[in-house]
Amino acid sequence: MEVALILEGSYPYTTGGLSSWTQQLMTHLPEKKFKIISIMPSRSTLPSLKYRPPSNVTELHTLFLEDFMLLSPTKRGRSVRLSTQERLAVEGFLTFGSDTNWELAVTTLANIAKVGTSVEFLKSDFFWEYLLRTYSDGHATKDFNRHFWSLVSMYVPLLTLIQQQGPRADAYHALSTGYAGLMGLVYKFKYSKPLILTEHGIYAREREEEIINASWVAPDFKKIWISYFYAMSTGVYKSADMIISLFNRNRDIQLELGAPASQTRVIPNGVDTTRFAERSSWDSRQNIGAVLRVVPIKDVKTLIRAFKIISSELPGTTLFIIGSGEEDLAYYLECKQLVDLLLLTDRVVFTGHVDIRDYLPRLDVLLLTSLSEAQPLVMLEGMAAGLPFVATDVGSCSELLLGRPGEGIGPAGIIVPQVSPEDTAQATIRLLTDHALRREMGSNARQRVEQFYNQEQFINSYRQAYESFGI
Amino acid sequence: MAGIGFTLKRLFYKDTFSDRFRAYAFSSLVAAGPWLSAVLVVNILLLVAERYIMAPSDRLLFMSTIVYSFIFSQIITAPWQFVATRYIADRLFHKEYDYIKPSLMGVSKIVFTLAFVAQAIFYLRTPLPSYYIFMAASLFLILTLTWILMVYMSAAKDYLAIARSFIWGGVVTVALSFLLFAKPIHFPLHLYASNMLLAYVVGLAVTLLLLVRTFLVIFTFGNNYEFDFLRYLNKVGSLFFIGLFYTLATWIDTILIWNSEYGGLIYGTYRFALHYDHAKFLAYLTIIPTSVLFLVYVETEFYDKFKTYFQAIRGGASLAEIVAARQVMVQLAYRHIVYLLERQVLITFTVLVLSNSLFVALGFSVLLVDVFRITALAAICNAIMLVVLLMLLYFEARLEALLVAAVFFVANLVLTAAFIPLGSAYLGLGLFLSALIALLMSIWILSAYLRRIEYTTFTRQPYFAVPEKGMFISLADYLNSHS
Repeated sequence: MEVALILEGSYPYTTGGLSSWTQQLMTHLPEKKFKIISIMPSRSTLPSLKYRPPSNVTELHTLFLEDFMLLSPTKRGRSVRLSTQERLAVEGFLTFGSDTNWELAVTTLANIAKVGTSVEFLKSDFFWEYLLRTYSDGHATKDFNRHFWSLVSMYVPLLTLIQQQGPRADAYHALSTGYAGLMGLVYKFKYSKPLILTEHGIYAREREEEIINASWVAPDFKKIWISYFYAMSTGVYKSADMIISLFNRNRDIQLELGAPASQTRVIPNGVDTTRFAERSSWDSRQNIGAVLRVVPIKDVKTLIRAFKIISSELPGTTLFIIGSGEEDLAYYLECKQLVDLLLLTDRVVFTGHVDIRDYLPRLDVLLLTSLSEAQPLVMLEGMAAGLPFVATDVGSCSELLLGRPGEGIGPAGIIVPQVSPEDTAQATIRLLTDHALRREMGSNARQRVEQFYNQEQFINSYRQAYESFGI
Repeated sequence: MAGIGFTLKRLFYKDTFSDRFRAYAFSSLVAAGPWLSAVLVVNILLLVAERYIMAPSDRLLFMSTIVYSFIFSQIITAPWQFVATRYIADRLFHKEYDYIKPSLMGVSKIVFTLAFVAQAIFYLRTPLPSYYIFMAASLFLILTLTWILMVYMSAAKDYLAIARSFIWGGVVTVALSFLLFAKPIHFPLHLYASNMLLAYVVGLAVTLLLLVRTFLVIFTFGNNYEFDFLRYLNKVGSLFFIGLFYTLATWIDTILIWNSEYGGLIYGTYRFALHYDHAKFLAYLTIIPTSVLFLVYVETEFYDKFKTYFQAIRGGASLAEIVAARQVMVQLAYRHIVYLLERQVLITFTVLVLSNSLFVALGFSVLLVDVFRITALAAICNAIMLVVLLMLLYFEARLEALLVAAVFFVANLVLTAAFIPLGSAYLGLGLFLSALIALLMSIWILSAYLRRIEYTTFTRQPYFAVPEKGMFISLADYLNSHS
């Protein structure tokens, strides 16, 4: 019995929380067999493997969003003959309608014999007529040329992806909605297998934020793009056989976006606390750490600016930025420039990709300035090592640091507003100067992780989840 | 959390229509101008010859040399003309002027080689004297190069320079022929035919040189990519076959009739069908007004509306505005076609009415008059069809245009072959019917196409950019990198 994990822009090609999580899950369920379906942007930009899949992984199957490039862009359209029901389903899908018959839409569009390849379909009379109709429904005064190209740009990769062949498995487990979830739907319907969804963040929300900030999308098309990603999520929520989130706040959002309550459950992440030694000494040099990929969503610049304030008040401190910078080199270089500009060059260490266990014992406090997070593994790991945190209120960070009602364990860190170097600095200074507070929060951290976020609970929950589908 | 939904920044939202803003400079004038000059000059030469004692077989030899040179130089060059026209238009549109001159060199080299091999094989076993062969071969090669150069000249839109070159060439021919008739060079065989041919070759050589000179003034600079245009054989390969089929279609009836009971062989070299050849050449003279008028329309009104339409699309117009611009453009296209047809019918019928007495006065035979009538009607269809064909090319409906040209060719082949056994009264009917069929079909295709032009305009664009592939593209890349 095999589970196919479906990931988008992640394991095993990029490092990060979701990738570590995936590796952890598969490694600790050695009795299960896994296949990996990894959706990546393009063949030409495929990074090297960042993880060695454990031995219970039987297949790595990579799908490429840009594989439409393998089709002929000039191929003529063909006539598409659909029954009324199929037509309604396909149109509902294209319109991102809320009452779409997802099964019929996805199986029809995946059927190349019926609708042609994605390019042929998008050049067909059927699509043209559809396009004219939707155009006159709401956009009649707008730039038709842009309307056309925006929709074609949106549908070409999507439909090409839907039409890709995937490996057979006994269950499909998508690790996000979006393209991964959509492929989960395709396989579920095509092969009649259960689909499990685990969402770390809320995919549609994350894309929405990106689109709002994207300068290359014309304002009137931001709405369409956003509804595109929401629709992809809703489709998965409505059809998945089990919907897992990491914490309650995200479960509420899933429910709001159309997930049936009966299918949802919360399985928090867990760490193997035995891998992290409990802190013995508290009077070390004052080292601040941040474990992250150097990418904009982590707001590394606020981190550096906060450290400027800390370092001017506590001159002996050092900031360790622990994690890879290769994902967004431009941003990485900007951060390094900022460090130089603030005259912090010899106080800030970019470690690159390392085993954080080599660094955690040397640190006194951890910072997390992210703009968006789910349930960061690095926070759980830092807490397991008995380190207090200063973190923004994103994802489940406040839940992790302050505890859920009735836990009976005190706070494990300080929550600060986003993009606020001053608040972040003050909170950090407070922790660094108040040894008793630091010690107390550090032991609370370890205690909370041991009790509620340990690996054993996490792995057992997934074992049970898989077993409920007979795997 | 990871996600790649938005790494798709390199979306294919680009200006896909700018390529359309170019005129198909290849106008029928390109064919009509030299045609006019050739037929006029040849007829003047023949009239001049009337005044001297000249063996009919010599006249026939001269005529046949001209006819062969014309027909086969056109068949060899037309495919390349269509491809080169598009290549030049694209390069000019993108202001890549330094590609123009080398491409003329490249095309000329290829076409010259083809023509050279073709005529070498053809004249290999002819009993004609070597000086005659040399002049005939020169005529053929000069004509071939002239056709190619005409494409470049009309792209530069310097019609006046073209006209001047042909007029000067004609003047030289006529003057020289008077001189040579008075004091002929004493060729041992075919005295007058050789002298006339000499006068004609020298005149055409003057034309070619004048054209080259004007070309060099316009396109001074060039890069080394002489064979870069070869990639267009992959990109727009259908144009090659449109040119080939259209020209073959125009002449296949002549070739069939040469080889029928109506044809003969002169000096073991040229096939001919005296009256048919003569009548058809004259008949095709009648469509010159259409060619010129079409050029004028396209250059002015139609191109304007065509541009408006595509600018509406590019400039962010709503669908309703695009449709409105299309309707204006389409109506204008139809109006032009109808207008051209009216004019042409009027002119042709006037000529037909006059032709009886005119031809009798000129001493032409009755059979010639009959063939002239039917081929003049064929010429109307042919001219209007060419107009429609070029409009299809404007709208990038290349496959549709290819279909029209291919149908014209096959119909003419089949119908002419079918009518030949039925008697001389049916001569030319095959050409007429096939041109009519092709014309009706082209109009039907154009109207169907224009009805759905938004659909085709949008969906026939490549949906994303991929590297171009193909034998000729690799060849062009290879030659570019080794030049």
